[in-house]
Amino acid sequence: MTTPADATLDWDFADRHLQRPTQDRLEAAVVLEAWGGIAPGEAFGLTSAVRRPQNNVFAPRVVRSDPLDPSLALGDLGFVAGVLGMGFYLSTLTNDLGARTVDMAWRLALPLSLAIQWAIRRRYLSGSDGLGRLRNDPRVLGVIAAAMALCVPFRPGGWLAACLVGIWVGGFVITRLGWGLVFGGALLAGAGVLRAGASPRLVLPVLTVLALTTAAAGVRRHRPSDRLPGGRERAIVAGLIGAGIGGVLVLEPRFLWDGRAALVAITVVPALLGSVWGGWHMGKLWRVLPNALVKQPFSWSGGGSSITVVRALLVGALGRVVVGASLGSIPILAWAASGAGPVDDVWALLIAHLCLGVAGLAVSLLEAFDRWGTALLAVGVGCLACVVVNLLDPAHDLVPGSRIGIGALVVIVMSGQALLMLVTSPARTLAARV
Amino acid sequence: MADRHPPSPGVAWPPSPTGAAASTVRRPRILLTTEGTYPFAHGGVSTWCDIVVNGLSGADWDVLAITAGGIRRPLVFDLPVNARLAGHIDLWSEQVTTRRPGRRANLRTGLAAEFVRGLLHWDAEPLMVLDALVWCRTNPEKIRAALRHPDAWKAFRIALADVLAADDDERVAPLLDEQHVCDLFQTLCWIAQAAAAPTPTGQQAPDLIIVTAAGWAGIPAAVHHAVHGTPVVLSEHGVYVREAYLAAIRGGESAGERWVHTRLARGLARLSYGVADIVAPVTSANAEWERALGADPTRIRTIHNGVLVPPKVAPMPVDPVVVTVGRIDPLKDVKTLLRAAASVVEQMPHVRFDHYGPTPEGNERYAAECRALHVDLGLRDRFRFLGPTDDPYAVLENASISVLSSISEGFPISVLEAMAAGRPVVATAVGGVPEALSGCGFTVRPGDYEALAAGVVRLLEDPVLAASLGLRGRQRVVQSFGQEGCLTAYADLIGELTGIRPAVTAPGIDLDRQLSGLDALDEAEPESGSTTDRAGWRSRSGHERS
Repeated sequence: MTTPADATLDWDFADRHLQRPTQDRLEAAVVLEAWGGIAPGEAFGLTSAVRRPQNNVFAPRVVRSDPLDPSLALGDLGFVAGVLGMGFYLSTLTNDLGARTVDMAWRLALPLSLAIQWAIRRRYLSGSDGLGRLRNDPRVLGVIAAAMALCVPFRPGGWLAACLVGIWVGGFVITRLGWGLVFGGALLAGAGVLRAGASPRLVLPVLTVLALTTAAAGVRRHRPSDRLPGGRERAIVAGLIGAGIGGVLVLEPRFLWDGRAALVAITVVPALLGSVWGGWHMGKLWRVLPNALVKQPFSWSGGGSSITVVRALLVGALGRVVVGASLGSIPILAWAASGAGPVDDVWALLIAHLCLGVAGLAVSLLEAFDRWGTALLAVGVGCLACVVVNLLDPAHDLVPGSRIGIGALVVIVMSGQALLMLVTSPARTLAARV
Repeated sequence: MADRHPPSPGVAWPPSPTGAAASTVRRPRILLTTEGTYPFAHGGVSTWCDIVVNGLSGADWDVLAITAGGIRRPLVFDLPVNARLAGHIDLWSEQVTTRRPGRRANLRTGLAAEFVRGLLHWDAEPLMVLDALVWCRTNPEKIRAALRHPDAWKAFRIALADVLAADDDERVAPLLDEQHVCDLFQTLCWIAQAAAAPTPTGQQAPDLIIVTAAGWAGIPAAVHHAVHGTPVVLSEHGVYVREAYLAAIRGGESAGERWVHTRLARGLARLSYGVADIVAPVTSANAEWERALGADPTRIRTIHNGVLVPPKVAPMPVDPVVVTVGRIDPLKDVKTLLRAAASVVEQMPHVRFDHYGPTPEGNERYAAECRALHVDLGLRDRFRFLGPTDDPYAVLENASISVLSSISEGFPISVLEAMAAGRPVVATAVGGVPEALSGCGFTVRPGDYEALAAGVVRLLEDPVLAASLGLRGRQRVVQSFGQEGCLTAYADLIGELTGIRPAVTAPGIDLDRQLSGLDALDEAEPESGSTTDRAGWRSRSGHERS
């Protein structure tokens, strides 16, 4: 027969062993059995007495998280340099191959490359061991090869589109490997070789093979991961979102690759710089939000400091996109003002690309928070808006880049409510990733 | 099956001779649900599943495995021809199937709140949550929308606040933080996914479901039971709730995490006990827990694990070797084993300890700590970590003694195997160990490395005692814990619940021959007081409670 005195004693035994107040009588019984050698029946008897009241104090936890890898930021900058390098290709390619060929290749390759990049990122690269997961699946190379093969039959410029897909997707992986600067340097070197008079039919395939083999070799250096890749359907949806972003860009009919072709690529660079900066800032969300949430005691009504934190991060990221793009635009505007390009067109394109940068940030955030349905709808409607504007403006009276800007603004508006939800209820957004 | 409604648990089914005739007419189809074990991982439960699936060859088995973490997992057990992997639910995996969204009408936005009230509330009815789980099965395309609905989040938070407020002073609920709340909501989403996972129906519909853990593995079984009325047997090896508490304690979880994890485990266990027609613990020690957690005592039927008995007892090795077989896991308390080994080696420097067992994923840090302790204790080659073994009897042939240092056990097969091999056992008195050994070895208080060492030294110094305890243990296994007995008990149970008793294919063991070989034991009774008399040993080891 257990006396109350025994019961108190055994609660104390559990407290002493645990070095904290015992949670409940089941935990006390577990301790008595596992560390006291008491048979379960006896242990339940000993802990059946009602527990004395305890002080219940909120104790914030410390959440450990991996620091951001600064080499990835350098890689991103390398990727920007690569895009700039590709810009320099355009006028040479246009001169050698003809505007129609280059135009077709760009319109085909850009959405396709973005689709593959987004799909690879979702399926493999979402964790710290992402490259290990990518290494486990050599079929990715087959997918890239299939996408390239899909481009080849298109005339004119199918072969060029295939090369661009290989270079851009290979470059994306190389950037994730942290070798973005090398990739950017290689592309700039390629531009130099082209300007020196080498045939694009030789230089582009060589760059393609180099990009893909470097990416494959780099991935093979990584230790295989035990983790399974992400779901195939999610990857396909992410790919469609990426393709949609590319779609907004290439549905611009005045994307003509004449003598001013490099202008379009060059005006992308400031927005890309801003996006990299903003995206880098937004990446802190995965460290900052959990830390804010653990410091916030639960109350049924919600609210609290996490809202402020997320709002600040989102505003900070948007600000960085805008400021980065603006700062990057200054030299381009100065260059245009010096008589090298049409200033009005440059202004229009810079603003359009800035809008697209913000739209890209918005949908990538939604996609990351599993709001892929909203993100897909937003880019889909954005593309539709571009098509509608094209139908309403068959003579192309609107300024260059207007379709991009309108499409991007539609994407931003469509994403707005879901983003607002993230800001006003970050815990729910984080939790309801079903 | 003529009648899908389970018979009363007390109704006996004719034993095997008549049941054999029935088995030629129809084979029972059994759904086996597992959690983190068979056929993807090694361990005691997996071994049991393998024995039962192979041994009850007169049944057709569908295995529904639940694992976690999205890890690449090859099958580590070959499924026999009468078994197939019918499903695999990988929790917290990124590979979750994206179901096409269904119509938004009739969304059950209170789903998460129902889970909170039904699984986390201390006084909840065990089956309160069953209706919500069934809704997930019948409306899988609506789960996502239901859980994402703003009302779902609000209702969830209100329910959680109510549950926390309902805890009285005996169970002080911690002050959760918002991250705990997010994690809990995510877990509830996975519970909905587990409930929605399809189980075999139509021609493949099971006649019986055997659940091997009273946790996540019980979810699909509970839903199938509710929808189709299929009887359920819960074969509980460890005690799910106890292991959840131990995991929370050893994992150093925050008060909030501990509360969420243990309360959820308790809710899932009570659900499993509630739907089970028979709760079959492997030891009567576990039955105490099951009763305490609300299982109907009339439905509890202990069926001990069983092992194959090797035909002969190998001679003791010349040099003293202490063997342990078990994974490197905090539950196995390898650190206590190491400290005991150091104590033994200090007294008997020629003794060697050989440890066989894998390091499961997630235990790498613990394994590193054990190796560091090994170095600190200066054990060098006196204690060897030899990795996993496929042939425990081969390693036991080279053993003088078998040791088990666990802080939690069901009815450990490694102890039964040591006994069957005729080796004396020194073990911690946890779970079903005292019931298994019962006078055939020494039991000590868990964590008491000095007592463990004293037991080992005692046996090494007294080979006659060691040999006699070993042979008594072997006799006990042959009589009570043979594999055939375990399989027969399950065949009878299946026959009782389904009306079709499956044929048993157990490797033949000649009980008469084995028992006759043990007759000499009567003349070699161990000296008085040498068997473990648990109270006596605890008294010697300085642990005696009034």
